[in-house]
Amino acid sequence: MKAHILTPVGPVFDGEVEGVQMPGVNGGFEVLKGHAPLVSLLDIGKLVVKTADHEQLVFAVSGGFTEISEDVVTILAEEAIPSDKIDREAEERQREEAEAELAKHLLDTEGHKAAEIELKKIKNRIKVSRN
Amino acid sequence: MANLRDIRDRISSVKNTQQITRAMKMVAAARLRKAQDRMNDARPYTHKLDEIIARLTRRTEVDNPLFKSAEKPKNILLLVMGSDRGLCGGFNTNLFRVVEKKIYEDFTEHLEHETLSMICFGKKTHDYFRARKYPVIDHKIGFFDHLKYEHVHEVMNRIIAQFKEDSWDEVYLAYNEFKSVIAQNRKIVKILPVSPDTEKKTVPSHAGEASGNNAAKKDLSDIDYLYEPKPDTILEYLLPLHINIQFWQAALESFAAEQGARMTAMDSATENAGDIISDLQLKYNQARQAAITTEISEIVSGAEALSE
Repeated sequence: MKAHILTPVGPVFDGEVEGVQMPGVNGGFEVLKGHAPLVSLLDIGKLVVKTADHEQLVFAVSGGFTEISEDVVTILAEEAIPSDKIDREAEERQREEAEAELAKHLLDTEGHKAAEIELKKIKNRIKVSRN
Repeated sequence: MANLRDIRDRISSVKNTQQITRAMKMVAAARLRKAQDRMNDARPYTHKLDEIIARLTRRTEVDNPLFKSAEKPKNILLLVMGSDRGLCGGFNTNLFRVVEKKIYEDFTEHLEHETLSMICFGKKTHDYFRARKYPVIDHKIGFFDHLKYEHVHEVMNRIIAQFKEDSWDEVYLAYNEFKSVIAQNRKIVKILPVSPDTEKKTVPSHAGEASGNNAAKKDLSDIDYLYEPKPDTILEYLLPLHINIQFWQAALESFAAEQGARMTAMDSATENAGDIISDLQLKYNQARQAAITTEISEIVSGAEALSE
């Protein structure tokens, strides 16, 4: 089946796949050929594409959603970075900054939520880069 | 009669100016190409997002605070996208005039009762509206220098939250749309409240079917989708995303339009400089020949006087 990973800055993947593992908000799940039509929200997490050539491509996804229909899987992610393109050192540095930023918003719920999400995205990228 | 040296200096000065305008044109051309690439990159995402939102909003049981429309809108927020730098022809003034016209046609009362607010993107925008004492509550300078999708969140999330808290009844976005290098379309779009209208498109109409996606031809009501979580929850995520993407697209369009306008303006300037240089060179040659003639006639009359 075909898979497309689209982001606001451009398409990240386009091709024939055997399956895709995605981080749904209600839990991770895998999509194989013949899946029922589905629209699902995606959490910040790891996305794994198993290509028709039996390769595994891993992406760090920062939230989004997916539409599965007629053997086409379309993933719209706000951000989808291939694991080999993640600069772990830069992300670690960003993690420190983000943790400091989070500490600043102890009393401000809106700022705290936003800072938390930022930190979650960075941690996810670091985790995925280890793959 | 102009001094030979003066004319020569002027020619040199205009040639320098011409080099600068020519360089500015080429830089703008390169930036325009990149901007167009970015716009094209965003299209598949945007099309798909629109399609899914349309499908969701067709279901009669979904509702969302972002659809809320007031009968008599009181608090209006106007976002205006101009440029940071000048030398881009009528790019800014044409847009600002359209914005002012809109204010005087639709928002005179709001202006009087101080319920109209504006946010200016770009130094030229801020300078214009602040000087004319419009109610500018915030401005972003240098916004277009490092356009990144992440920055959109920073701007729009707060506005969306304020809309939900009823701080705004309507939010408009004014920007230049890139039609071609010589033509920019001025657009004023209402981005909040969102209209639960399935024909709504995020992508400007001139874009055409660039994404190669046959979604528009597929009958959306054919397939019965499972939704996880509930459609209401999904829409809660998708609608702010849709607004963010509208803003992102407008920013890309505005940036591209600015580069196009600057290319055209600098192209004209370069050509004009060329005309001035030709003109001056003509004058220079005439002055040079006149000087030679004067010198010769002085020599001749001097020689004649001696021979008498």
